[in-house]
Amino acid sequence: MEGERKGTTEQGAAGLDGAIGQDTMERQAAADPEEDISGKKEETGMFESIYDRLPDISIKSLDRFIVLCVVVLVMVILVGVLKARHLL
Amino acid sequence: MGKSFNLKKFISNNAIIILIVLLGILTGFTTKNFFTLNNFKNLVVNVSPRFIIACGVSGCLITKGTDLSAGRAVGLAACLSAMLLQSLDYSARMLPWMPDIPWPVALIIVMVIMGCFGAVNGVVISMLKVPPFIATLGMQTIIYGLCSLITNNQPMGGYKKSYLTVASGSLGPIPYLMIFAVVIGVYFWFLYNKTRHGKYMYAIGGNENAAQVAGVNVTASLIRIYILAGCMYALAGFLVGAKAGGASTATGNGYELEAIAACTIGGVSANGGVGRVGGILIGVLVFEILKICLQFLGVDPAYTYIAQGLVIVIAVALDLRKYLQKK
Repeated sequence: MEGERKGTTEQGAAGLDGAIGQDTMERQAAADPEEDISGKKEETGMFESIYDRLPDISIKSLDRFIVLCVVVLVMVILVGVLKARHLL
Repeated sequence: MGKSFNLKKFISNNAIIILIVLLGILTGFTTKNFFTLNNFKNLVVNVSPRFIIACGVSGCLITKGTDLSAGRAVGLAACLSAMLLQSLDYSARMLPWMPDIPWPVALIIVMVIMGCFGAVNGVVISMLKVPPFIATLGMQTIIYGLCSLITNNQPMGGYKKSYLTVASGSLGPIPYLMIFAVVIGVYFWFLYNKTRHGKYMYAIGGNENAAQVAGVNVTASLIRIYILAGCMYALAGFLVGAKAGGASTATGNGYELEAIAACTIGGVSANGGVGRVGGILIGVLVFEILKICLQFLGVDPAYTYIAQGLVIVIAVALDLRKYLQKK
C-alpha cells in the first residue's frame, strides 16, 4: 500500500514537475554531450580503441564486406593456381 | 540442457581457419610430397621463430598497444648474433677482437640489448603517454638505422658450426627450433594464465583506468610487457639468423605485420583484453600453411602477398564483427 501510494505520489510529482523539469532536463541534455566528448577524449588517446573511432557500421554491411573479401581471396588463389598451371 | 551448436557462429568465428584447412586438403590431394614428414618439419621450422615473435607482440596487443618495431628488432638481433658468433677463421669477421663465446652467452647478450630497446618502448608509451603506434613506429626506424650503422649495410655470414646447429640440429625427430618454440609457448601460457603479471595484463587491456584504480601498477606492467617483447624478438632474431646462415639489414623486414596479423587471426583482439597462447599458435600456423600451400601449388609469390593481405583484412574485420556484436 505504501509502495503504491509512493508510486502514485511519484507519478503525480512527475506530472506536476514535468513542465518545470523539462527546462532542467534540456539544459542537462545539452551539457551531457560535452561531458561525454571530453570524457571520451580523456579515455582514448590517438590510435587507441580504434574500433571506437570507426563510424557506425552495421553488422550486415560488415558481413557483406567479409564475404566480399573471402570471395576475392578465393579468386586470387584460383587465378594464381591457374596461371601457375598455364591455364590462364 | 546442453548448448546447441550454432553453425553460423562457428563458421563466422573460424572462417579463415576453415578456408586454410580446405586449402591444405586441396593442396595435399593435388600435389605430391605435401603430406610428408619433411614438409611437416619444414612447416615447424618456419613457424617456430614466427610464433616466438607473435608471443612477444601479443602482450602489446592485449594491452591495447602494438609494436611495429618487432620486425626490425628481429633483424638487429640477427645481426648482433652474427657479429658475436662468426667463426674465428672467417676472413670478413665484423669484430676481429671478439673471443670465441658459446652461443648461449651470445644469446643472453642479445636478449639484454634488445630488452633495453623494449624498455625504451615501454617507458615512452607508459610514462610519456606516447601512443604505441607512434612510439614503436619511431623505434622501428631507429633500430633500422642502428642496424645499418653497425653492419655498414653489409650482409654477414661465416657462422660457427655450433650456432648453425641450433637451427639445423634436432633431438631425435624434433628440431631444436621446435623445442625453443614449445618452451616459449609453455612459458607464455603459464605467464598469461597463472601469474599476477598475466592478470594485470588482461586487466589493463580490458580497462586501463579500472585496473589503475584497482591498484595495478600500469606503468611497471607495460614496461615489463615491452621488455619481454624485446627479449622474444632477440630470441627469434637469433634463431632466424641461425636458420638462414646469414643476416643483413633486410632480415626481419615485415615480420611485425605477420605477427600482428597472426595474433588477430588467433583471437587476440585489436581492442585489447583478449588473447590466448593457443590462438596465437593457430594464427601463425594459418599464415605459414597458406604460404606453403601456395608454394606447393606453384603460385607466383606476388599472389601470396595479395592473399596474405586479404587474410589480414578478413581477420581484422572478423575481430571488429565480434566487437560490434558484443556492443
